[in-house]
Amino acid sequence: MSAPTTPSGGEAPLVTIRDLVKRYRQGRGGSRAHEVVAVDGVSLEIRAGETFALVGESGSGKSTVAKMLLRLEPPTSGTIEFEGRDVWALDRAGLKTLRRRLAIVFQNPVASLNRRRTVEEIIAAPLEIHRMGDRGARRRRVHELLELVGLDTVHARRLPSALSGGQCQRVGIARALALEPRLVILDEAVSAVDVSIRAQILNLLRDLQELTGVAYLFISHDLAVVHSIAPRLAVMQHGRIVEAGTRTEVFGRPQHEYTRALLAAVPEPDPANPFPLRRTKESA
Amino acid sequence: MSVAVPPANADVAVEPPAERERFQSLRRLLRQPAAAVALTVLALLVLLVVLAPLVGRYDPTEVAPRDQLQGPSAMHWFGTDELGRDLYSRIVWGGRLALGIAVAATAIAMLLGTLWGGIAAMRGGLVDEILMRIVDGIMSIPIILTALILVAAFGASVTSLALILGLLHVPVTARMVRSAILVERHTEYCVAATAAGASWWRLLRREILPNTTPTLLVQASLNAASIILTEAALSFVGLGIQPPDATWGTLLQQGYAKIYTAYWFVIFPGLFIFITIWALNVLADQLQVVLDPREAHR
Repeated sequence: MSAPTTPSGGEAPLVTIRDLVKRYRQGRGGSRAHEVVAVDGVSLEIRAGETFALVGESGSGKSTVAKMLLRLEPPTSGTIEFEGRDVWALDRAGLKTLRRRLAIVFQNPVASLNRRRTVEEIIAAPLEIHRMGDRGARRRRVHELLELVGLDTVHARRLPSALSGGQCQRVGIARALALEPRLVILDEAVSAVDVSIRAQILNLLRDLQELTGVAYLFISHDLAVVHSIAPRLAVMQHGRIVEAGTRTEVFGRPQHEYTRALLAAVPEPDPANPFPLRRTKESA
Repeated sequence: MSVAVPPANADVAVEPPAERERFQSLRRLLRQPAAAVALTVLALLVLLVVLAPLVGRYDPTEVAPRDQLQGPSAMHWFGTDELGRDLYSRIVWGGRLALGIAVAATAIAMLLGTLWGGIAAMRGGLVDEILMRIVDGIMSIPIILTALILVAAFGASVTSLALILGLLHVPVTARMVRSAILVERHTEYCVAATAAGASWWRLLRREILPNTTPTLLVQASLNAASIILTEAALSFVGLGIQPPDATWGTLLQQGYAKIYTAYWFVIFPGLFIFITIWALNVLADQLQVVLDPREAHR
């Protein structure tokens, strides 16, 4: 493992975020309106093909960082670079490329799928948007993706309501991978599924990374899950990164009291096996 | 020999195809007695006016001075008017006009209203503000008043009535559609589509509108009811379809003058207006119950 937030290699990072700030104005009107700082000076780097985790309790600003990276919400200040280009200064063509290379998987597998469209239509939508191939080619790609995420091609004709939560999440992952992105944001992607399914999805994500070389920004509040998947991570509290580093550093010698508190809250202390994945639910 | 061997394709047979699930709400609608009655009534009315040349019995404009103001009989089911014209035939042919105008006007209102509300909801900000303030402005004037002025100005042909009544129902529709879209707009599936690069137009057409069909259907039935009533009101005050043609509103007005001598003259046209409006309102109500899970448990 290399240095914590700054990668050592000569290769440029995939994502570079510098001094990112997001303030929301609460209520209407006047200059004295109450302001909420959601993200407060966040800097981080994500390298191609790696899994980087952003950890923190709800409201700590993790998802807001993701929204700004996806160019869904403008930052108040600071810069976000994806593949060396400022995300918020992209021209039309640049934005199209960004949309193709960056995808997201959400927490709620059911809400993230349009309930009126079949699995095939849902997975093919990104291909349609970017005018990839004709109808037949898109169908083949959908079947390929379904197999890739461990679903059967018969699922293609079904509506999301006919699938289980875990299956829906696989559809969400297939959709995210449709355009062969370089980075997929996993926003609490395994938090809403059963513990047994969670392990399956995590394994799937690992396999897919090995196969496609995609990088993950793994957003989660669950330290046990993060420990199992992310070699590097940053811990967020009240919009700031309070601690960052490799898995060994953060989990082995937590520097910040907030990280220690988070760690203490997760599993039963077991020196031999500090972060067993299956314990998360029992000790909650 | 007769060992029960499950067919190899048993799994395929029980497969719920997406198409069938899509019609589930229609089947649930038909299981509601009130909705089934309303739909049957509407279907019969449509059938009646579509088949007017076959089931009309008499020429609705044929004058027979010797048969004037006869009560209901085997010869004249609903009686005759003051010129001896068969009232049943006049109601059937009048319904053809009334329902024809209603269908055309509802189509105009739904099309433009959805576009208007859709653009307002999707573009937001200043565009939304401007479009919706225009809606507020138009809606602050009663529809019947504007309709009177416009009909007086542009005449009362079938086309102009359909256009005027359709356009006047655009604001109500726009407001309903806008709020229905705003509910969907920030759901995760919409964010996912945006993140994949979908334009607002595609988002509206392909992702959001399919999910607002319930609201659109309810609004369409309410619009149709309101359009029929307004058209009848216009005809009642003499600004609707001109003689010798007549819609239900015209017949009602002519019958109203003879209310003490020929009760049937006013009752039958009134009955048809009433039944149509009732069926459309029940339909809208039942649609809401079936399509909105929160209503279903009341």
